Amino acid sequence: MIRVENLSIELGEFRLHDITLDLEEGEYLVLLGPTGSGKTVVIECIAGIHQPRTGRVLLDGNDVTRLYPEERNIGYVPQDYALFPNMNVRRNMGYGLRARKRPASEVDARVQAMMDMLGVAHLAERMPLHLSGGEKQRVALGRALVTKPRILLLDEPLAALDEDRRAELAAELRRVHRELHGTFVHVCHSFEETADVADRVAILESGRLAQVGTIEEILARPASTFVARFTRTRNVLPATAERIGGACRVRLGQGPVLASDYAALDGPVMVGIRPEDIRFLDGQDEPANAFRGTVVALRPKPTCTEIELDVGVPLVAIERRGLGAYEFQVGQKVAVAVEPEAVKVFPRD
Amino acid sequence: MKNAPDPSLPRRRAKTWAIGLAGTGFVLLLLAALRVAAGEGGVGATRLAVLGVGSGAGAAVLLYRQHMLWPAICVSATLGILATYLVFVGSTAVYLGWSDAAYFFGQERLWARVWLTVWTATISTGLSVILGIPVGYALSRLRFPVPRLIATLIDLPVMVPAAAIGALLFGFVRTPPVRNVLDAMGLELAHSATGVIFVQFVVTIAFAARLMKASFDAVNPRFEQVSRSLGASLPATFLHVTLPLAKRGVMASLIVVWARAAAEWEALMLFVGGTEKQTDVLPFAIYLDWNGGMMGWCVSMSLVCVLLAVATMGAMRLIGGRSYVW
Repeated sequence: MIRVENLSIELGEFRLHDITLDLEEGEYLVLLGPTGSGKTVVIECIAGIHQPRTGRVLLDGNDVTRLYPEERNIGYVPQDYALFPNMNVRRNMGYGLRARKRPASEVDARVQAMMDMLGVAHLAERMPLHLSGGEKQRVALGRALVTKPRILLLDEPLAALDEDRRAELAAELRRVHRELHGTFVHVCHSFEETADVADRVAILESGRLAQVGTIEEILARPASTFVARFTRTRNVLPATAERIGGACRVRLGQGPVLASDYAALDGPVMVGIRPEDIRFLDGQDEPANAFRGTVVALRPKPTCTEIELDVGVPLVAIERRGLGAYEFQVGQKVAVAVEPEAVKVFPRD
Repeated sequence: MKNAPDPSLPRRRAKTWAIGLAGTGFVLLLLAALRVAAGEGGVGATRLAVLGVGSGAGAAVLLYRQHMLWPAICVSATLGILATYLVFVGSTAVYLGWSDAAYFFGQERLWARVWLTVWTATISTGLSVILGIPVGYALSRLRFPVPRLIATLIDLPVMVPAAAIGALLFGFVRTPPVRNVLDAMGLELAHSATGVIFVQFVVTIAFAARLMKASFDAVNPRFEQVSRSLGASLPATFLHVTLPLAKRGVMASLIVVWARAAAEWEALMLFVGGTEKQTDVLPFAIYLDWNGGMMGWCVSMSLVCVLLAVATMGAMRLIGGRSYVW
């Protein structure tokens, strides 16, 4: 439905390199990346705010690259929401319809319906200055959606909100997306937030597309150490690999030697192991990829305890918290194991 | 605690003492000056002056030890300038005297000149702003080659002395194509109110463009981007978003431009020339009457100028509030 093709642009020091993205009708795509990776520039190119140096933006098969923003029918909600400060909520929301010269009765009806759907009808006469972050976000969302855009672009819609409001509004975004059968592109820098909303994720690394896929695909098969680190693979360590058929054996520094099914590589590599893939052993069984070490530090988190281990190399594992959870002590000797498919091997950067 | 203020005196009391000492010093110096002026100088005046300076120095030492000297200097400078202003206007009014003031302010000649100033400045401001808004918008938002060079060129009339502009205009209207057009339209610029408006417009257009640019610069372009993404064209966006958000700056600029237009006289003098009842806007009229030795007229019109300025600034506060431009 929308296709970004070989998009490149230079803005001062910043560059986007050859971005190609496909979006299906009704999809919720998150553009994920750290600050300065170019996520915002990508959606600004789609919205028509920037003209790419090379590449095209196709909407329903039509090249819209040279069209003005107002000729594209693409909704855009910037990070600061940019509610017009000289208009109240109702007028803000009706702006797009008035710009399209719809009759006043239709504008009123559609704005009212949108306000009801987003639960902001009681704020209709308020000025933006007197709205909370979450209210502003809903109004900005409504203002963009009321014109029924082909796609909605959201730039860090949850970043300005308090921690506890964020999950609620993420759920709200999902609900609106479902009810309107919309196509959303959501820019975000937090993997947790992404997991709350996304059908599919495109990860950007300094102006390049690092990986595109569903959350599960990216968690299961990160394409690079950058993606692995960014998706909370806490253990990314240098290692030496030895190819064995379609798999390999890796030696982690001075630490354990592990079998991996992930890739067949030779020589210096990087190894990624997610903390939740490290299993603590009771002592009796000795499965493949088992090794011993010492507990170095404990860091309690809301749902789990992070356990820092020394197994010749530093390693972070987790244990769930709560009743019946195993209690560790610093200095304690432990045995752990990792399944061969959980040992991810990447070429050395 | 090397940085602690002098503990022997609480700050509040130190402040009271400093103000008292400085005030006493000021009064003593004033008395000394009065004695000298009255021809009673000598030892008495010197003593008073020494006491006055000593009192001021005491205040300074006290403030220094309380780490309050710098703010005190800033505040004193501000109050000093204000006092000087008051003395300017006050002394002028005293010089004029009550009965003469009543006479001059009752004269048709004076109010005709005020009225001429007001309406010419208003028309030229209107013209400057009508042109200044699109130019300011272009400089602020649109992309064109060598933007800095163009912006600098547009700004030139702000930097070039108005007299030079007058001289250049002189050549401009006497060059064939321009001259023919003016003749065909039957426009006579020399010694006419039309000429006054023309000169005021030429001198203020650069101010208008520059101030409008600053007003538009203060509007976050994000609002315009969103407006366009919502389907509003560039002109509609300008009308419904940019201009309303720049309103305060535009209003403030308008008043600054008006004040500049009403104050113009150098280019007028060279280009239009002074004619009683034709081109004698206030600043020019003051010059004309000064040359004629009519000091009463000069002083009374200067006071009107001050009143006009006060009214203008009041209007600016009322309409524009505080804006980025002013």
